[in-house]
This record gives sequence, structure tokens and C-alpha cells, in this order.
Amino acid sequence: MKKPNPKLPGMHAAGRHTMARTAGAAGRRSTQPGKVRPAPAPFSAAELRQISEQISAAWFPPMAANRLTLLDIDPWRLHAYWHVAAQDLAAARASLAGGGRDARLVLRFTDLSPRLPGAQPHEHFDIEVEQRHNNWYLDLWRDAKHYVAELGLRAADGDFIALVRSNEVVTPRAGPSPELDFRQIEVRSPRALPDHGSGPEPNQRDSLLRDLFPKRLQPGEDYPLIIPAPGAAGLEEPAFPALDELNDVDAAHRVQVSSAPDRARDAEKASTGAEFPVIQAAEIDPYRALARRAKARMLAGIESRLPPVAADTVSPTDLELLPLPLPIPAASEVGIGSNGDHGKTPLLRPPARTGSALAGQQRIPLEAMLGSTFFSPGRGASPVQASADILISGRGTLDRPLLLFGEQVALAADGSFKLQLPLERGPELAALLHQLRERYEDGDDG
Amino acid sequence: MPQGYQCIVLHAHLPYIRHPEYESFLEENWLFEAITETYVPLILALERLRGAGVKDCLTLSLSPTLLTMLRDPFLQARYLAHLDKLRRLAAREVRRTRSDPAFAPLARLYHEQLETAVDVFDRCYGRDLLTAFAQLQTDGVLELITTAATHGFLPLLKTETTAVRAQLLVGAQTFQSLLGRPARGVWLPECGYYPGLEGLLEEAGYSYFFTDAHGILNASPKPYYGLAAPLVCPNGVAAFGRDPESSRRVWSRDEGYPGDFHYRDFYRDIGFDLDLDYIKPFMLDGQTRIHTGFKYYRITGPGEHKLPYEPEQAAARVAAHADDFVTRSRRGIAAQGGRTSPAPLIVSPYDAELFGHWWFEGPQWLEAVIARLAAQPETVALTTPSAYLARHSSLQSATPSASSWGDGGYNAFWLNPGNDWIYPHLHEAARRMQALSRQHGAAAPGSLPYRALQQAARSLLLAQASDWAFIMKSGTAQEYALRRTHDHLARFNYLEQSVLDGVIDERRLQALEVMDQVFPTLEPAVYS
Repeated sequence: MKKPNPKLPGMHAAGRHTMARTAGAAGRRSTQPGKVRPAPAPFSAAELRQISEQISAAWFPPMAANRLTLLDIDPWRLHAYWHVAAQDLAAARASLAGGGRDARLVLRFTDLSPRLPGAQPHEHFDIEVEQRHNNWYLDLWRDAKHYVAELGLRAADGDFIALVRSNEVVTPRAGPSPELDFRQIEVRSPRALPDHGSGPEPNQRDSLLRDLFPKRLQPGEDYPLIIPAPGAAGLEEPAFPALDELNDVDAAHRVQVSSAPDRARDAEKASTGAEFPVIQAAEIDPYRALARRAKARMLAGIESRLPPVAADTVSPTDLELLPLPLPIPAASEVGIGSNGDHGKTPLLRPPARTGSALAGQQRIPLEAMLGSTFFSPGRGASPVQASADILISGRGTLDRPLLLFGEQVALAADGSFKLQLPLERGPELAALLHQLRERYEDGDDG
Repeated sequence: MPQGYQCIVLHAHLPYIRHPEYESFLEENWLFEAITETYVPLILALERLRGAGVKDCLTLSLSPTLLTMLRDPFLQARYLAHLDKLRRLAAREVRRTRSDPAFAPLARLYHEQLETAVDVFDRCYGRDLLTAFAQLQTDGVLELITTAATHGFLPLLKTETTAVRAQLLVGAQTFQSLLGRPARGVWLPECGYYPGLEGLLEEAGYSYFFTDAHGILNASPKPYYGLAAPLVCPNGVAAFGRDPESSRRVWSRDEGYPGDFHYRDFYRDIGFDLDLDYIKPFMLDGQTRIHTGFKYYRITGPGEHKLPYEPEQAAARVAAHADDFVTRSRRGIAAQGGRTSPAPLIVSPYDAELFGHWWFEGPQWLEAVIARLAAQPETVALTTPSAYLARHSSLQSATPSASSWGDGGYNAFWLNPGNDWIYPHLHEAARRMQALSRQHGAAAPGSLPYRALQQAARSLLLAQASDWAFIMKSGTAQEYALRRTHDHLARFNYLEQSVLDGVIDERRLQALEVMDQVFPTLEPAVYS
């Protein structure tokens, strides 16, 4: 808008000042920073009204530049508005054959949405419009589309002269996303509320952590929450029960009942420096390898049934695992129906008390995986049920308590510890892994 | 530890309406009615809850325009004058109805309400209700947040990123300058979100926002916990989704609590029912009938026939509706099956002015709901977004879908043949404001060019208010909305040209500063 400044009637002559266009030039009148500006002479309501009316009458802005703008209204509707100077339109028309007498003003929409491999990119369609309307409402047939448009003249022979190009617009999604990736990240803000006491007090933090997994925090009931490291003085059970014990439901139950930790004794041992054996990495490695392979199989099975997902939607952990070979699991590998020597703790095992098991080379159905993993909550009943344990080992500092889900972990004399926890089906699988890892990494030295 | 959480959010917003160029102005009453009927009752309820030791019971969004108006001495004085007029009317009503057993108690009720408003507004808080809200936040009763500067509908401003950025930054700065601390979260005007907005929210210092239900349910990737847990955008800004069920129970004309036949009817008002000669002294112009706030009937039923309002019966319905809300909340949380990480959450946001102004019994109901939930926090506990995130900061990463809480769930209410003409002007002005700020941004603060730049930015922001497009569509006060949009665009255009020409009429600039006295600390550089 380059409208000349008109001399408006009723202007307050004493209030008009002229400034040079360059900063600091003579003639600029400005108030020094920090100086108190003198109060203006009082305004009467009538004077304010007069100034307001004068400005509104004379200064409503015309459109100046050639422009085409697209706005999404909803998943199935777009709005386009435009301004093209009459002389620009006439010049474009004149440049067409025959003076463009038969040319029509059209909005040419180009679909920029992601396309299937091999499909022709950038399909377009035209909508004939009239210049005098300057805007258009366009109904669409699909949601979540990505468009750009040009306003131009299309001659009878198909020639098209673009006058102005629009912004790009993406219409909203009308339904759930097909992407099923699940990743947890931290909220950006500080977690504590400094200004009032609504946040958890320091001495409540343990109980907050404890609440994360309440079912696993009832010592001595369903499952041994914390299994002391093997060889601890006065303890009867090893940290990692033998495989046959765990595959035998009753035996496992017996272990559970009898292995409730004596925390007072553990704490006493820890504080007095009683010796705990150091856990060797080799003891854990078989389980880690087994876990990686099981997860890789699971992901591969799911991937084959899901629509393509952009690489950046897959978590780093998944990317690491995906390239692994995907053998059909043997029963011995998953610790089912065999006493194979891959490890003492199965990562997949038959559901407790049903006694069902997978045969040697049987492929685990995709539906079974989906029904028991975080990828597809709430799907129908699965013919196969799976359960898993997680093994946690590490090292802490003896002079500071190491808490896991609010429970103090008994440390060996060198600070090492080893735990076994059950994983349940459903979303807690991912959450538990994350929380454990985070807490673990947040530990002093562990 | 509770099984889950209930987060109640009230969004308080009114457009900037201040007309010193008129002795009185009808639309200024929107603020005055909201103070008497909503904000003061809300403060009283929260103070009672504070006395009972309740914490984190409410999240209250105060829009920057409302904050500015509540702190404005001119409007504070006009509000007291408005109250004085109504108190005179109340005295007359008490006399007029003294022999009427149905209406006399109601006249006394309104008389008492007005006296209470004077007590709270003038004597208690020295005309500054922001002090009350700030103290309630300091005491841990509520969390205060804010919204975009003039409540611009951001999905339709997004073609000009600087326009959206300025709306958010000026809003955040205004909140901080008037309340002394930054807001952690933001209420997006009309819940209007589009993917990518979270980057500008982060820039403005916000850590969370709200969307309508489908903004979360259609998020990408698909939300694992549905609406029962917030999401975190990839940049770490959290998104809370509105629970449609609890919203419907309050909002729905047919199913909602406010439609109960025992509640007070909004539309029957002595401003329309009594003889003009009697009511004339209390009309703005002595001629045009308006709502006075003295309403003596209950909803009664769908027809025209109305029965007198009976507060005791209404109070019983308030208790029943509070019980119903709490019961359903607990059921909803229980249906999540005991999940604890992240804990189930129900987010129930409402327009604040619904409570007390439109729904007379709303503040009582809100207080009853809060008291009931606070009494049994082991099942469903009240929380605020910040308190919840303090406990559950690790959440699913996903980007919400474009959405709003307007009719149809997207942008149609603010973009349709009734109001589409404004967008070419708003977008054009935003582009020119950016160019102006870049070209003249070196002007010394306090100098005429700087002040003209500031005032141009104020004019643009005021033109962008979503209220004008909303009113143009809804039809009420349409002429006023058209005029406001036109006036602010014209003022922007005038100021822009003055700066470009290097010719600034100080008297005119002062007049515009007097009329549009909003965002005093606005820095034009937000448009650079």
C-alpha cells in the first residue's frame, strides 16, 4: 500500500511533526529514551471519535500485491483467495494466441501429497473461476492432502500462463493415523513447580516411583520383586533360578514364595561390607542376545503387515535391531519345551498354569505378537500368550541407596546387583523398559 | 496415590473493548457482567477451597486482552459506575418486590451479589482482580496460563509466520509483565492447532497446550493411550486433549447440566419484562432495552411459560450434577484399568464465562465438584497440567492433528462466506508489519516512529482477534465486529503510511494510543 498521506480535515495542526527519513537526521522529533513523555492535552470524547472516524473513512487498506493464498477449512474443503492487478491479467491474456479471447481464468491445483512408488508425481486439476469473485471454496474428496495452486489463464489449446502461485497447504487428517510407532520422550519443561507445593516433595518421590508399577511392589506376594545376587550369605536361592525351575510353574511358584528378600539382612550385609560375588558380563550376554533376536523377529513380523513408515519414525533401538537375520525361532532358543543351554531364564514361555507350549519350529503367528505387544493394544484374543522376564544388573555406590520402583536394592560389597522382574503383556512392556533404563542411567555410577 | 487425575480448565477471555470516545458503550458491559457474575464468584469459591486446603484444583487461562482490561484504571472506574447503577436498581427491586414471596428473595439475592462484588472488587482487592488470581496461584490453588495476544485464530494466520509468532510472544510477555511470572502453558485460541505450531509455542516459552479430542486421537503416530494421557510433540512441548464426554455434560444444550429446568433462565430479564419508564434510568441510552442481570425465572421447560426461580431447588440440582460429574470421572479413570505410567487423566476445559454468566449456578457446581474430588483424592485427584507433568514427564511422542473446538472441529466457523473477506487484509497487513518493523526497527524506544510502530502492531493484533470473525458468523453484534475489524485495519494502514512517509501526527498518534491502550510493553521487533 503506497497511498499518499492525505491531509485529513480536522487535523490538530499543532500535533503534526515532520521527520527526516534517515535515522538521526535533523528534523526528527523524538522523545529521548528514559525521559518522561509529557502527558498529552486531554482529549474530549468528541475529538477521539472524530479522529477515529476520519482514519477509518480514509485509510481502509486496498489490496496491493498480486497474491494467491490457500487456506484449509477442514479435511475436505479449501478456500482460495487472490488478487491480480487488472493490467497484469490483460497482459497475460494478450500474450496468448488470438489475444487470449477464449482463455479461461483457472486455479490449477497440484497434488504434492506423498505418492506410491511408480505413481506419476504432481498430478493437477483445474477449477475455472471468475476474476470478479476473487475467492473460491473447493470441496475435496480426500483428507490429509498436500496442495499448491497457481492462478492463471488456460487457452483453448491447453496453453497455461500462471499469474501467481500460492502457498502450500496440507488439509487435516480426518481419522486416526496409520503410524503406530511408540516412543516416549521427556517433556521440555522443568519438572518441578518452584512456586507452590503442588509438585512431589523430595520425600514423596519414592512413593511416586513405586506407584508406577504397583502390582510388582507388593513384596512376598505374587512374585519375587528383588532377587539378591547369587551367593549372598544366608540366602538359599540363587539369583537366577535354573531353567527347569522356571519352566515348571509349580517350581517357579515355590521359588517365588521362598525367595522373598530379607531387606534388613541385606542392608546390614551391605553396610558391613559383606562380600557379594561380582556378576560377570558373560552371565548376562546370552539373555541379551536372546532378547535382541526375539525383538527383531517380532518387529520383522509386524513390519511385513504394516504400511511403510518413514525411517525417522522408527526408534533408534528398532533401527539397530531390524537388520538382524530373522530365523524361525526354535523352541530351544526361546526356552520353551527344552532345557537348552542358551540361558537359564526364558524370555518367552508358556502362560502360567495353562501348560501350553510352542512346538520346536512353529512360527509364532503375527496376531499373537500383536496381541501381546505394545504395537496393537486391545486387539482380539490371541491363540498364543507370551510372557517375559527382564534381567537387570549393574553397579551402584554403596554409600547411597539405590532404588528401583521405590524399593531399595541390596548391593554386593563391590556395589553390584542383579534383579529379575516379570514383564506383563500390553503397554507396560515399553514403559517398563524405558523407566528401568532411565532410572538405571540416572543412578549414581550404575 | 490416586488411580488417575481430573484436570479442570477454564478459559477466560473477552475481546479488548474500551471506548473512551463514548460516555458509555454497550459492549463494555461484557466485561462488567463477567466480573460480577463469573470472576468474583469464582474468586470467592477458590478462596473457600483454599481455606479447606485444596491444591491444584483448577487451571485458569486469562487472555492478555482480559488481563489488560482488568488492570485498566479507566475500565475499573467504569465498572464501579456500572455497579453503582445496578445497586440503585437493586434497591428499587427490593422495594418493588417486597410483598411478592416469589420474587422478593430473588431481588435480595441480586442485591447481595452486587454488594459482594463491590466488596471483593473494590474493598478487598483495590479494583485489581489480578491480585486475587495471582495470590491463588502463589498459594497453590490454581495454575494460571494465558493465550495468544488478542486471541487470534492461529490456523488461519499461519500463512504469515510472523503474525502467529507475534500473537504468541506478545501474549506471553503481557502475562509475565502483569502477573510477574511466565505462564508455563498456553490455551490456543479456540483450541486451534496446526502441525508445526509447537515450534512457535516453544519459542514463546510454553511447555504445553490443549487441543480438542480429535487433535489427539488423529495424532501421528497414533496415540497409544488415546485421550487418557497427554502427548509430547517431537520438540518436547506437551499436548493435552479435551475429553468430549465431560465437555458434553456441561456444554450440551440438550444433555448438559445447565439446561436443567430448575436452573435460572438467562433470557427472562427485567430489562425486557418491566415497563420502559421504570427501567429507563438503567438503560445505556434511556431507550434500548438490555439485560440488567435481574432474572427471576427458572428454565421451567422448553416453552415460553416460566415459573419463578427457586434457589434451594437449584442448589439441590447443583449437588446432584456435581455427584454425577464426579461419579463419571471416577468411572472413566477406573476404565483405564489401573494403569499408572502415565497415570490416566481426564481434561475438561470450558469457557470461564459460561460459569455464572450463562449458567448462573455454574460457580457453585464447580466448587462442589472440586470439593468432592478433593475429599477423596485416592481415587481421582485434581491436578493441573504442570503438576501432572511433574509426575509424568515421559510421554508418547506424537504430533497432534490440525483441529479446533469450533463447530465441525476445524476452521469453518472462522472462515466462511460471512467473514472470509477479512483474511486477505489480515495477511497483507501482517506482511507489511513485518516489512515495517525490519525497515524502521532501529527507531529509539519512546520516539515518535517507535510509538507509531508499536501502535501499528497493536492495531494489527486487535484486528486479528478471533472474536470478530466469530461474531460475524454467529450474527450477534455483527455490526460491531465489522466496525472493529475495519477500524483496526484502517488505523494500521494510517500508522504504517505515517512511518513510511516520515510524517507522524503526534496528536493523532496519541488519540490512537488512548483508544487502543493495550500491550503497553509491546516491542515492534517481535515482527522482525
